Amino acid sequence: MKHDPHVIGLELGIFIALFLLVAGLGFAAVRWRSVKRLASIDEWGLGGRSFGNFISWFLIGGDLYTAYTFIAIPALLYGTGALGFFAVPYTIVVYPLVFLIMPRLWSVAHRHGAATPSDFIRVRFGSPTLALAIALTGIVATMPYIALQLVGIQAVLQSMGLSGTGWQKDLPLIIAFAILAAYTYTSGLRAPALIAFVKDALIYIVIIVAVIYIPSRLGGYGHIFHVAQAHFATPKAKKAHASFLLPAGGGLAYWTLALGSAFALFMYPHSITAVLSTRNRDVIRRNSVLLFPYSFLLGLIALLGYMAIAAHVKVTNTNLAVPELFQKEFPHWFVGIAFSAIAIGALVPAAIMSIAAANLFTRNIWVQFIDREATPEREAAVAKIVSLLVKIGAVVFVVLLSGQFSVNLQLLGGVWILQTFPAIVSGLYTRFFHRWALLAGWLAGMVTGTLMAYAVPNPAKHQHHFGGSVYAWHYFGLHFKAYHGLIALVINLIVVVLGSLILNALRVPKGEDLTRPEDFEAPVGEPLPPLEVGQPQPA
Amino acid sequence: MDSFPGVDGRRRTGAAISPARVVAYALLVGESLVILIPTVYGRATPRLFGIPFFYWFQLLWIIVGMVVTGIAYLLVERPPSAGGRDPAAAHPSAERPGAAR
Repeated sequence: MKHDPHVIGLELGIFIALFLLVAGLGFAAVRWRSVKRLASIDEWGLGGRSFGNFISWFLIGGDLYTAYTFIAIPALLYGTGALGFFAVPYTIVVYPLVFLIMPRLWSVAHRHGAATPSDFIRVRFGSPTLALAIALTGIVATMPYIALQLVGIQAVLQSMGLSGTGWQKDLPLIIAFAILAAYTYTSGLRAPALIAFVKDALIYIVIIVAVIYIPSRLGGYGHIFHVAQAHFATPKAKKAHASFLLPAGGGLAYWTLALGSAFALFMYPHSITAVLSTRNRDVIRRNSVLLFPYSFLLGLIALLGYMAIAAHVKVTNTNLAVPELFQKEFPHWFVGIAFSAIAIGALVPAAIMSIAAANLFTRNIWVQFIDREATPEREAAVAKIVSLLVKIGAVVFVVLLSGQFSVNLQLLGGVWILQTFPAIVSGLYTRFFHRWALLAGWLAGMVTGTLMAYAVPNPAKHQHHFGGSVYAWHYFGLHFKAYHGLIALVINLIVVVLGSLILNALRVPKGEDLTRPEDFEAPVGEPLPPLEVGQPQPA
Repeated sequence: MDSFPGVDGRRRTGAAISPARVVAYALLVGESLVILIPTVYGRATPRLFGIPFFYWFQLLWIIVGMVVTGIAYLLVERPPSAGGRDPAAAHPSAERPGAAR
């Protein structure tokens, strides 16, 4: 094996050079396409809401397909086989959803100056409590996601041999994140938007080379699948519940994982931030078609897990499967490029996530409850500081607690963010559902989802709790295995529907709705009606 | 077969349901449903270049998804910015949004 404990100079040199290039871009981004100083949430946190088709394609792609994706999806195939391929139906289903739903969110956000999903909830339902619940869920779900980006960088650094002892072990990670924090602070969303070009170009190059070059060395795709099939037929693999095709009854887990993840993806604050940063609703529609190549890329990336099996990569931490595969199959200089691609791939989403969390905190907690008189300048100042705190929090998280803890929490985060789906998406179409019912449904989904996630063991990893995303349901005479996030969503929806019927029948006040039907279809260039917005509208 | 104009002759909300929209939505739902039913593709054969059906079918369906979403994009009417109102009239982010209290 090529893998040495010492640092390999060429790899590291390329890695540092590309990292510095990207840092320079990040700082330069403050001047990019900016009309004035970044003294408002719209400018700092949404890039002036000005990105067109081209930039948004890179930005959204760079935002959604994170470094952790490149590590974790193949790791899942490497570890569990066919079930891990759910990422493919997931990305197939998500774009039609975006196509249908997100233009409405864009329009109403545009008309009412909403910068976060919670802003929309407050405008639509007149309920600061529901808006707060959505904001807190968004922040709490985003934090471990940022931490996971660090885990992605960590996997790469570790594979390069950068693993000192004690506090030095984490020094490269801390330096990388400090630089990221600095340029996000100065340039806001423009920094990841500009870096996304580099990130996506690198990722496309690396993956295209990987899916052509590695199979050519391993004896072709047929051989790779042949080896994988034999691997999953071994008793050891069977004991770990891994399989080459979906096991009997595994179809439900497969599609619920895909659908639940698709529902969750665009509820994440960082996805909505990217959506709201576009120039008009057509950009979103167009990109929901044009982003499909990323899905294809993801499908190919997933197969890297099987290539790792065929290349006889043996790791206990499955997150190291892809880095080890690259180390084994690529020449050193290209390993440097590939690892840079993964690390830079972590920076773009981490920046957008921290901005999204900062926007949420500023708009929906700070301004809403503490500093009601904040000017746009003060909002931007608060958001910038919060973006720093969020990143420090993520670093502390990863350095002090185990990486596994971030993974567990991120799984939970997916379950949690899914529970905001009923409020946000139903709100885009109807006011039938009552704000208190939506709140109760959210709570029911959060609690049951968390309990189910807690109860999932993982015998292969000797974990008793948070062992995975598939829950064995044995209540009310029903027995099945499915994604617990989606089960929780169903519980959530039942509460929402029943609660709404009851509350509406009792004529409990529904809250003030500031939107009008045409706001949801408002096209590009519609002027904001600033005076009208503050006025009460008939609910 | 274009959109239905509102009473005042202006296109109003997305409530205008044109046949083209129905076809577009049906395509999107149908394409998504197929990939959400693993019994459709949960087998090893027929293989393609040695790749089991389960894997190549789903990769192929990504391309189908793109084509279908592309057709839906063309079918769904464009936002009415081209007609009626003056698109240059506004610069949306210039003012502080009043709704954000």
